[in-house]
Amino acid sequence: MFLTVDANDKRPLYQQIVDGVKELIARGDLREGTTLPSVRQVAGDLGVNLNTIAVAYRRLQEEGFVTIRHGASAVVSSRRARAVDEDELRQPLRTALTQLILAGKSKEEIASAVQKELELIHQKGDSR
Amino acid sequence: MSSHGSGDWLLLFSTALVVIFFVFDLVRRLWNYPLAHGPGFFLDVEVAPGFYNGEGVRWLARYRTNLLAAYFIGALALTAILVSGRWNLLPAWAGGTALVRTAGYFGVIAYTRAKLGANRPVPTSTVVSLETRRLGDYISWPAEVLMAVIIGLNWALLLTHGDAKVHWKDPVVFTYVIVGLLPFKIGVVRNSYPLPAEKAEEHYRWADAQRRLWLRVMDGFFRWFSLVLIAGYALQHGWPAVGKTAGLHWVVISIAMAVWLATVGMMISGSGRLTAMGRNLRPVGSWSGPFRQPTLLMPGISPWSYGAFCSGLFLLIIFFGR
Repeated sequence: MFLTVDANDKRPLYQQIVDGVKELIARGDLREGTTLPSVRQVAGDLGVNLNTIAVAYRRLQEEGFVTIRHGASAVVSSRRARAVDEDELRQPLRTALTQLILAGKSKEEIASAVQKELELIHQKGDSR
Repeated sequence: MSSHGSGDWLLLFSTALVVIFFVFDLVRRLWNYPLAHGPGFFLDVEVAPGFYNGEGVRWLARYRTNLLAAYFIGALALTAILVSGRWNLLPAWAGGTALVRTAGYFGVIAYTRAKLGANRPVPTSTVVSLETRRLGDYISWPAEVLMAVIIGLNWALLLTHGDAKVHWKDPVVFTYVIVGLLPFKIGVVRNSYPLPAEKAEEHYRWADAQRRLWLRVMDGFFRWFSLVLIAGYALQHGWPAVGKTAGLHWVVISIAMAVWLATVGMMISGSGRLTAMGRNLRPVGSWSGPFRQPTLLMPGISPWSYGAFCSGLFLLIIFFGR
């Protein structure tokens, strides 16, 4: 199971890792109970600071996706995020939609893109 | 030569095996090593089409001249040791030759990368595996404990019943090799390199297969081999009844030979599998990760841990050889 990070991505590296892991969980590639590699391993493989990966894991823990026991690895704990406010949940979607509108996309194009992305996530999950 | 004991014959035998390995490595691997990834590469540096019809001929000739020079120096030193009868210098020769080979290898790679591969492609994206690499997946702890027990028993035998002919250099060096290889192996397991986004899974599987092969080869060539020798030595000098048994050293030699040959066989078959696996992959070091340069050595091999291990061995040999 692999996670791609891009140096040109506007998101910080830790956020790319958080988003990548969440996507893998959403697709069902990372199941509950799966152990994630240690912070040291991921940092070493990527060649980045330990703190960057530690922040990503901490963020995942705060959002309820992984459990980290002291001195042990991070374990995927749930496929669902901790109970959050519906409005908070929709905020990233709203931001993305705003960006698409500002990019000049029509309502139909946006709906079609959202539908495609949704199908892609389900497809990847089903094809495992 | 008649003044040499069976311990010296063991030394000579070990050296003969090292020589066979060095020659085999030269013929099978090193001679055409720059072309291992096809005509599109010199070592791990991507070259333009037609490189080997022009500039590449000179690069190849220079590489092979350096290689032969290193082997010639080694052969000269070995001949001098054998002719002078100072067989106690053979371990220093083996260690020194290994160091020269390693240093030469680093030197050639560094020079080639600096001159030919100054503008390696730097992809903006890289891939990280979410597969956990635990030490226990690569290192057999029961085997490590078994080794520790055998070493302990051998040392106990030598310390309590060792005869007057015990030269502590041999048990110390063998023990260093057996014990000192563990941190080196841990370094091998922990090290890695940035994966390219293209064919990431294949690159990862290849690196993993190589890591496992290196660990098995290190265990076979160094640890089990040394373990047989230290056990033979302890029996010879610490257990008079067994030590006087006719042909004991030949039994030890036979077992060491079996270990050696099994390792050589494993290395040949493993290398063949690795070559097949990596046929359509980019050689490691032919690109730079966006966050990290690839290491000088193969993936999984830390130059520092390797250098520290070899230097320690070399210093021990020099210390006891005074």
